[in-house]
Order: sequence, then structure tokens, then C-alpha cells
Amino acid sequence: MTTGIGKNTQGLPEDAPRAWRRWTRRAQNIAAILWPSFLAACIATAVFFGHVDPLDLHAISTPMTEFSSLTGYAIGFFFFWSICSLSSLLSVFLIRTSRRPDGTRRTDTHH
Amino acid sequence: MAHAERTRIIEPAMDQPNTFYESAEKIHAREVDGTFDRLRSASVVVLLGLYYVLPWLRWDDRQAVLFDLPARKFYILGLTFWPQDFIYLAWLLIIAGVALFFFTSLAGRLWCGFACPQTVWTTAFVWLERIAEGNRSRRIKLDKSPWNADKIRRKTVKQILWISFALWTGYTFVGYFTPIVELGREIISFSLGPWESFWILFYSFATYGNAGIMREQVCKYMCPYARFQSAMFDRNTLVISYDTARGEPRGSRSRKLGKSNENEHLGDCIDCQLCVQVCPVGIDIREGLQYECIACAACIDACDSVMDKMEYPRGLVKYTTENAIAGEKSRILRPRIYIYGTLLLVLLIGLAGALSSRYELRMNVLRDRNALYRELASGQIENVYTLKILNKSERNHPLTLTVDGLQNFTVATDPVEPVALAGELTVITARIQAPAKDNSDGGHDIVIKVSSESAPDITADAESRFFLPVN
Repeated sequence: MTTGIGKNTQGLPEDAPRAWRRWTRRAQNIAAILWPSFLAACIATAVFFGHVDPLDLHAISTPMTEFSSLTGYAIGFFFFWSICSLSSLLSVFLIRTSRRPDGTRRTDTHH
Repeated sequence: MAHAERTRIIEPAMDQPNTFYESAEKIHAREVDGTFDRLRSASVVVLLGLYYVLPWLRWDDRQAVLFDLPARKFYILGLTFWPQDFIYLAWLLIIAGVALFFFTSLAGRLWCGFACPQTVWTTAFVWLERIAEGNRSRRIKLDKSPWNADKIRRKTVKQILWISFALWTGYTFVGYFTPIVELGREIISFSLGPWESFWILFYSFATYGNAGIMREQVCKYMCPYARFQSAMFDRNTLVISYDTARGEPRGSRSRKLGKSNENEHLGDCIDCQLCVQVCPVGIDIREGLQYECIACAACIDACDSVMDKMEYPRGLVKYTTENAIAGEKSRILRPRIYIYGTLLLVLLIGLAGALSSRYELRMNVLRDRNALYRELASGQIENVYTLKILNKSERNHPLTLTVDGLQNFTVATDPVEPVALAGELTVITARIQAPAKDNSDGGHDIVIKVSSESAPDITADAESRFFLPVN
């Protein structure tokens, strides 16, 4: 069994595309940072606000300001998303800058 | 050699102006008709139908499905869920996880090919694309042709269709959280709140980007399930496979010799490329099982139609197991399937049971912290309690209070005739009075019980303490 990566246009007629859309390292990095953290932020938001009412948080923090619970949910979601993105960013950074198990350097796109 | 191949893939092509694509040739999957394609169309119609219609349905005087975030209440048909019911959501997620295991080990990526929102919305977007730009070969030609009036017109129509559909999708999504009719009125009168506007655009943009632009790349580069689903496979899992032994050596038939297999020593594969052209992720199934394959089975439909034309038996590409391909005995109904299946069934029955026997009333009792007891002029001893009663149902319950553990007590409540309001948390002050002569000194364990006057079997109780003076 082969993986077929990069070979999928083998034997196609002349007018067929040579290679399908393939992402660069950079695009893959961005996706690997934003997307898993988005999913994790959704879970965190659901669990957190399942137990805490944003209006209660508002009452103990800045009660004098105007506030709607929708603002609270949105702030919470984007807070979780940014924290999770930070974590993903570090993970991607560590993986992309490490040496391979055989000791050779990974070929990076940013050279 | 393998190393050279790898670096070639990793390094960006320098002549590509777009820094996010190494190669940016868009996949135009060929239209296909067949059992699996019809199955997917049906699935798309049902799932999208549910998505777009559900928020418009009414239940009594409210939206049938509404996740009311400001009020922190979720309405699903006749049920009302509170933050306290979080356990049901967790339970539901566990069921979804077990179901994924069950279906994946049974028949691979059924979810991906037929039910995943990514597939469902992409299919809808491809339909719209076909309306505006025509079939596959016309679309490929159009993409390659220079910009002319026809191209501008077709691309504009496609964008209008896509954007309208995406916006409607975003509007529907927010309609699950804000009553959809009101939301529509706010849009028409330009009085939409900032967060509602934001989330409508956010979801529209995500739909447009995922289903219109990125499509198969979401599955290839972003989906975690695509990467770990192979861990749930074994040799008895049904997967889409090409029968190499039967198909190879592939080759086109010579016209002179007609359809017969006398065409030299060729296998049944006529190398027509249809299975490659219909593939939405752009792979060749004849190269074996690949992680890009979303199991949409379009190649089965395509190959079957060709086999019919050639008057060969169907099934050169088909759902089969690794064992069957290797000529070994394959057991689809195996212990793994029974275990996952039983677990799934138990969890589902448990959820149904828990939902049907949900308490309509819940009560918390807080003792007055200021005084243990009060002696009234009449010689009665009074203890004061705050009752917090949650009515999860959608009807009001006028309440009757009783107390276990005290002799000859009386109860005065504020309000005098307490009612647990539908879907709300009602706070009641209860003054329980009991004569000192009929009850022993000191503390008593008591149970305060409320029951509905309209439906006496609907009750809630809570334990507390009642104190009398010690002489």
C-alpha cells in the first residue's frame, strides 16, 4: 500500500491538472495553530459557561460598566481561543525547530 | 530517493506567487450518478433541511429549538435544559464518541463521506457552482479561459449564490440562539445588535471559506479524525478498495477486439480515469487505501457504471475488507462491533431513561442564618427557611408544603400562595412553627417537601434542621 501523496495525477490526460492544491508549510502551521485551538476553545467555553454565568462574573469585577451576557460569552470564547492558540503556537514552534530523530535539521520554509 | 521526494514536497515552489499554496490547481470533481451518490444527496437534503428548518418550528408559544444564552436555558422541543443539566451534554458527547468508534470500525469513514458538515456543505456549494458554471469540463475550461464577459458573468453568479447561501447559513446559526423571527425583523429594520451581526458574519465566512474555498483541504490538513481514524480500523473493517488482482494489468481496450477480455492479457480495469475524475479529494483509489480518502464512494459509483457498460461484473472498486482482499475469511460482525454496539445501546437507553425521569422540580433549602429560632407570643417556636425551587417544566406549579420530623407544625409562606413558575427559579420564604410542648428540645432533622397542587406526584424535597430552645 502506498500513500499516494504527490502522485495522484499519475496517468491523467494531458489537459488534467498536474497537482492539486497543496499547502505550504506556512499555511499548514497557521491551520495547525488556529484550528485545534478553536475546537479546544469551543469545549472550554461550553464547560466554563455551563457552570458560570457571565453576569455573575460581571457583578464581582466591573459592575459599574454596561454589560450584556452576549458580550461575556464572546469575551470568554475569544479569551479561550487566544490562550489555546498560544499553546498551539508553541507546540508548532517546538516541533518545527527540532532536529529529526536521525540528527538532521528539518528543512524549513523560512530560509 | 525517498528523502529527495520528501524535501521536494516540503520546499515551496519558488515560482508560486501565492505563499500559502505550493500548487494551487483546484479539484473539479466530475459529476457521478449511482447508489452512493444518491445516498449522499439524500443525506445532504435531510441534514441541511433539518438545519435550516428546525429554528422555524414552534412549540407552544416559543421556538421549538432555542439555545437562550442570556437566560441560560436550552429549549429542545418539550424539554428545557438548565446549566445544572450539563451532565446530559457531557453524556451526549460520550455517545457521539462511542458512535464514532462503532461506525468507524464497522465501515470506515462513513461519517466523512455522508454526514460531516464539511462534506454536506461542500456538496451544497458544489451544486451551486454547477448551476453557475456548468459541469466539470466546462468549469475546467472556464478556469483556464481568459477573463471575458461570459467568465465574469458566471463567476459573479456563483459568488452571489455562494455568498447568499453562506449568509443565510450564518443567519440560521444565530437563529438557534436568538429567536429567529425577531432576528429577521432586526435585520430588516437595520437594528441588529453588534454581537448578532458579528456571529452571523463569522459563521457565514466560515461556511464560505470551508465549503466554498478550502473544501478537501480541511479534511487533508485540518481534520484530526482523518489522522487517527486508521487506529480504529482492523482487517475486518469495510473500506473502499480496488481489486488489484482482478483489475491489473490495467489498460484501455483496443477497439478492434471489442469488449472481450481477449484484449491481450489485460485485467478488468480499462484505465478510463473516471474513478480519479470523480474523486473530491483528488486521489487514485487504485493506489490503495490513503488517508486522504473520505470514503464518499464516488469511485464505486463511477466504476460500477463503467463495468456495466463493459458488461463486466460490478465491484472492481467496492466496499470490502482487507481480509477479503487477501482471500482470507472476513468477519464483519466481530467482538469489537458487539462491544461498541452494546456500549452505544446502553448509553442511549440510559440517556433516554434519564431524560424521561427527569425531575420537574428541584429544591434547595437554606436556613435563616441570623437566628436559630424565635419564640412567638403564642408559645410556638419558629424557624425561618429560604426555599429555592427550580421548575424545569413548562407549566406553573402551585405548591403545598409539608414537613416530616415535627409534631403539630404550621407553615406560613411568603408569598402566601407559593407558585413555582414555569422554567424559573422561585424563591420562597417559609416560616415553620411548632409548639415547644409537642416536640423535644434541641435540634431536629427535618425533611421539607413541596408538591404540586395540580399534579401531586410532582414533588421535591430537601433536608434541613429545626431548632427548639433547650430548657
